[in-house]
Amino acid sequence: MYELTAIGSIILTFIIAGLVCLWLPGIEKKVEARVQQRIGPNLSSPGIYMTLKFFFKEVLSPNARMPRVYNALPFVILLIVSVILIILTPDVAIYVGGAATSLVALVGLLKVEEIVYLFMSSFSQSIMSKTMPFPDQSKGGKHLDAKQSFIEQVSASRSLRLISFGSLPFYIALFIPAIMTGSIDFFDITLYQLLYGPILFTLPGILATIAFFVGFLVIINENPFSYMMGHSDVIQGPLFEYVAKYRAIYTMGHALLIFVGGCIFSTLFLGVAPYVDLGMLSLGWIGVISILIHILVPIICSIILAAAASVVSAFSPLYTNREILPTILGTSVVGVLALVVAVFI
Amino acid sequence: MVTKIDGATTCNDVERQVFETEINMGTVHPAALEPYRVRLFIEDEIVKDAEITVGLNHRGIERIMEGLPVEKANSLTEKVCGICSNGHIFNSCRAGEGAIGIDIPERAVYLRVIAEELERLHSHMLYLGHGSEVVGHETLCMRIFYIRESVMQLLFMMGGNRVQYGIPILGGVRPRADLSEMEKQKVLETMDYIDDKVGVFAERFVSDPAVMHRITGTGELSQKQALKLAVTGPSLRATGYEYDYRTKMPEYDSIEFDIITQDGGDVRANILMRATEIFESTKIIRQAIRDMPEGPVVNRDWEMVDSPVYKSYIEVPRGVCYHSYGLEDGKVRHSVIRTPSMSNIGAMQESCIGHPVQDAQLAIVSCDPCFTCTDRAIQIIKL
Repeated sequence: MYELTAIGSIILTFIIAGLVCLWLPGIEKKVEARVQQRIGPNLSSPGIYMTLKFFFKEVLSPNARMPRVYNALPFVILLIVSVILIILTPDVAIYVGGAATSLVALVGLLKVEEIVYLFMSSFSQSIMSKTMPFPDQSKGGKHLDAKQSFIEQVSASRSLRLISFGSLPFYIALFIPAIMTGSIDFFDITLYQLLYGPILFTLPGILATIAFFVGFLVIINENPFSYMMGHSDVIQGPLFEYVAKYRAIYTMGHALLIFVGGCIFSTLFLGVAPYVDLGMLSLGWIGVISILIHILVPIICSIILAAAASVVSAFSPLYTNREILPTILGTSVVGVLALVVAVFI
Repeated sequence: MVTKIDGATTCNDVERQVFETEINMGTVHPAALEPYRVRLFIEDEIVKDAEITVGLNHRGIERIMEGLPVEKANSLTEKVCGICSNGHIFNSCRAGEGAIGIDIPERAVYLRVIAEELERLHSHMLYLGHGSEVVGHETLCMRIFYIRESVMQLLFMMGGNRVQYGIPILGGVRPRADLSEMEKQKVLETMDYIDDKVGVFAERFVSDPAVMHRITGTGELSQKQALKLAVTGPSLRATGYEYDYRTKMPEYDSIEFDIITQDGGDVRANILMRATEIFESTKIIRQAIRDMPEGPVVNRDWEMVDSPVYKSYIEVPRGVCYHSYGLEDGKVRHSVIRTPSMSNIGAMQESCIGHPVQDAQLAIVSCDPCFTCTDRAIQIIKL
């Protein structure tokens, strides 16, 4: 019976996550539009109607190498992000436990999610560049024997850079709660904060939040760190050839990633894991309030994260290598400072 | 692929090898507003050479003009460009008037100057918006477009259209484009609004460290190189070279304005150059409104005569524009148009070199390209 309740709770958590994810892209676009003194789209348009629309579009075969693998990659992202959401829920810690519900699993899964973009970029071969039917030779072009590359291959090298050092501040920030609680297990981290209060309201917590936010912008490829899919040269980079349902799946995976980012933050820095614990209903009003807290806090965190990302995006130009390196270096220093303070606290 | 450069050897007499990888962009590209092809030859994401190909939107306007009456040919020249349409009809009217020998009423001269400067305002603001967008700063792009809208409204008020206003005609300007006292007041109020808003925009732009870091030193073009490539207009002035063809145009004789220059020739210099020129244009419009005499706006008292090729040059928002007419039996026998972007293509190619791929599009955009207008039959004469 207890197992059934746990499964039901996880399913309910997923339903709520799905509902929130449908609105998050709308919130992002709306905030950005307001900053730009525009009305912007309806809240439901970018998340719900755009995704629905893509499902009914004609599926075109991409020009990518291994098109089936290329088309499967958005599903991989959705799967990875879903697994992250599952391992954050406390019941999984009871049944699985160990490294699977710890920071080790989280870091590993997020790294795999980042590497997926490298594969996407390497496979993609959009018509915008090399395959554009244009007879350079007959126009008397120069360097006719040069090796031609697809613009997505530029994206691949940029994606490699972001994997190597771009998201470093995010991963540094993840380990601040581990140092303060003395454990990498999510259950221990939330339990510690239940007893001693949220880590967010400590000095290392505040510093780690800065590093977390900047690093997370890199992970979700949001402006100013979206140079992997920079509009002015590589257009949409790895995503360019996704059409119809594959684009819809990618949109869903991306929105779920933002929600999961909010959940990671609420779990590690506020001690509130995303979970609809149906078993708590037996405790009456206290149980209901507890459930509401576990629903609302991650939702609020993800909305704040999405809105803050939009504001930063609206006020920033697209960063290139020249800007990304110092920004990441500076934020990493903040993260390391948080680590040092956390060690001596 | 390994490409060996012929004859290039190092001090050890070992053949130098250059690894070239080509990145093609276009002929259709979302950051480019028009169809053109860019080939970037890169090494480690640094552009070593660049090639821009145009010729994808050739319409043959000059050929269509041959055999048409001058008035009809003039209205065709307006279709050359959507951004500087007034510049083209203004210049073709000047060429036609010069060939036939038509005197222009003084009020019409001022109205032409006002229309041309309004066009410069909207073109420079479009440039600032496009530049901001390519930098990746959509908010700045949106803000400048709000300000630009006020200029578009003025052009609509004068010509009845937001593009291709048809203000100049042979002998003056269309009577519809004449400004009443109330309209002159509106123009003046809008100039105050533009000065105020563009000032705020420029301050916001230069005070953003991320934006300035992104554009400073990017797409640099030296003055020597610019002169060698025959670069014209604001792109030349952004290298510090003081040359503005308006100083040679009789229409601007009674008007005081400064030639704006910037040093560096990079994207920052180009953007700041055009932002500062906006204030000069508002100054010119104010003077034109103040000094504009009463009187007719068009001289219809002229007769068609045959004429050899008559050349006319004016300064349009992107540089010096050339039109020529040869007339026979009241019809156009010869017509040549050269837009300023033609001269600036070399600068676009050159300014990409030595910079990362992500800055290439920005370097091209910094020269304010208008390729569709440039697509015409040309003959390059090697000097």
